[in-house]
Amino acid sequence: MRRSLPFLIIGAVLLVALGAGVILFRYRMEPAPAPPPAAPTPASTAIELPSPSGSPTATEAPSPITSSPEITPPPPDVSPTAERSATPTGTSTPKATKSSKSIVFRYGRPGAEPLHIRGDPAAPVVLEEFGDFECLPCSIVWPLLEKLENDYSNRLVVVFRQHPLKKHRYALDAARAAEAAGLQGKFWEMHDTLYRNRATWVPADYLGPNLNGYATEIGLDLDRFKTDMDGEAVARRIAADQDRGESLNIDRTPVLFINGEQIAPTARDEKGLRAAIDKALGSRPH
Amino acid sequence: MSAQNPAPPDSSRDRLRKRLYAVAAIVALLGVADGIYLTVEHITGRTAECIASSGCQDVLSSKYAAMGPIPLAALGAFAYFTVFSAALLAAFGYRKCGTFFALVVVLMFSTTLWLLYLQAFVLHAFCDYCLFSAGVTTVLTLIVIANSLLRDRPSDVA
Repeated sequence: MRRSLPFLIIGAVLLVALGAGVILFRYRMEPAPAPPPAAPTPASTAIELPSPSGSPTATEAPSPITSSPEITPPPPDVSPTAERSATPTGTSTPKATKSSKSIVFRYGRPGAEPLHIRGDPAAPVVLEEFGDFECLPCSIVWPLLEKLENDYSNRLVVVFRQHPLKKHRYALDAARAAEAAGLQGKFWEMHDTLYRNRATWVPADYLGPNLNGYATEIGLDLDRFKTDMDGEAVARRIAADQDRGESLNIDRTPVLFINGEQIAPTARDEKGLRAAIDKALGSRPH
Repeated sequence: MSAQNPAPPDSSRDRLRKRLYAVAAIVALLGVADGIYLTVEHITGRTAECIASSGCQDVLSSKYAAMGPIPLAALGAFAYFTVFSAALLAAFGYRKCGTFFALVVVLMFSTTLWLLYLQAFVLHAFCDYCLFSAGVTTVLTLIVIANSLLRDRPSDVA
């Protein structure tokens, strides 16, 4: 008995360790509860995800999207970025319907309007990213998304949502900077600049000089940028995106949705994202 | 792993060494727990929250956090489990396991030094869980050193 006792202990510990790992894994992988169907109230964000190509659903239906009085029209100089508005809608159209003019989300709470969109808003696949500029994995995903945007061209549109994590000391300021740049029609320029220079500003003692430098670099009106960063409009946008993130139980970044389906972290590489996009397109691998 | 007959005449040094092996086994379990936690965080795409430092995300998301598809934390958990098993068997008198235990711990300590270098001079960020693991490996290394000092010398046996 004495000779076999250590082996029994080792076996028991192995079982406990594996069991604990599996339990922890399941706990950590618990999916966010399915978002409730959008109530047909004016406060609900309409998110009509573009349907897979060829879907007959309501494609030609009269768009419920109209211009919303509180939504700023897209800046004229943001090409190829298209800032579009998604307005509240009371229609209960089936999931994955498509509007040629806008993106309408039917899960979670609304989020900021107008959306930060890169690509063709009429694209059949919508990739919604909840990101944090200080987050390293987000900065790793950033060039990958750019590559996919280029490869899929007008079949993929990327939407960026602010989700600055509290544990990151500069994440909120960086989000403010991006939103302030957005008010001057240069959200994506600041977005790219922040990720590109992440290794510089994250360890910096002071963030302000870096942000001002980036603002100047991308041609922003610096005074307005500084004012906007602390302004109500920027705060409201970030709060709205965070509210949407909370409604989707987002507790990390980046979190990606493709046509409303959350992408597992393990599928957040090029192969996994291509597979998800291709699935959404209903096509063969690109 | 071949089993040898436990040494019958237990000197006081032998008894102390066995106790140290038992302590090493318990300490190694802490490393197993740390490794499993970090592995799960890696697989699920989360980033463990730092408690004392602020660089968990930078360290755990860096390219050094995985060897190909295998998270480094998983290798660490496996190594700690190996150390636990060897230390436990050594505590039960399997002498060759003591040697194996020492070899693995020395290898782990070398790896720990390399990882500390990466955190300090390459990533410029420290992660609590990695530092905890470094602490565990250091304790195990000290136990290996203590055990080698307690080894019976020919003069003691005579």
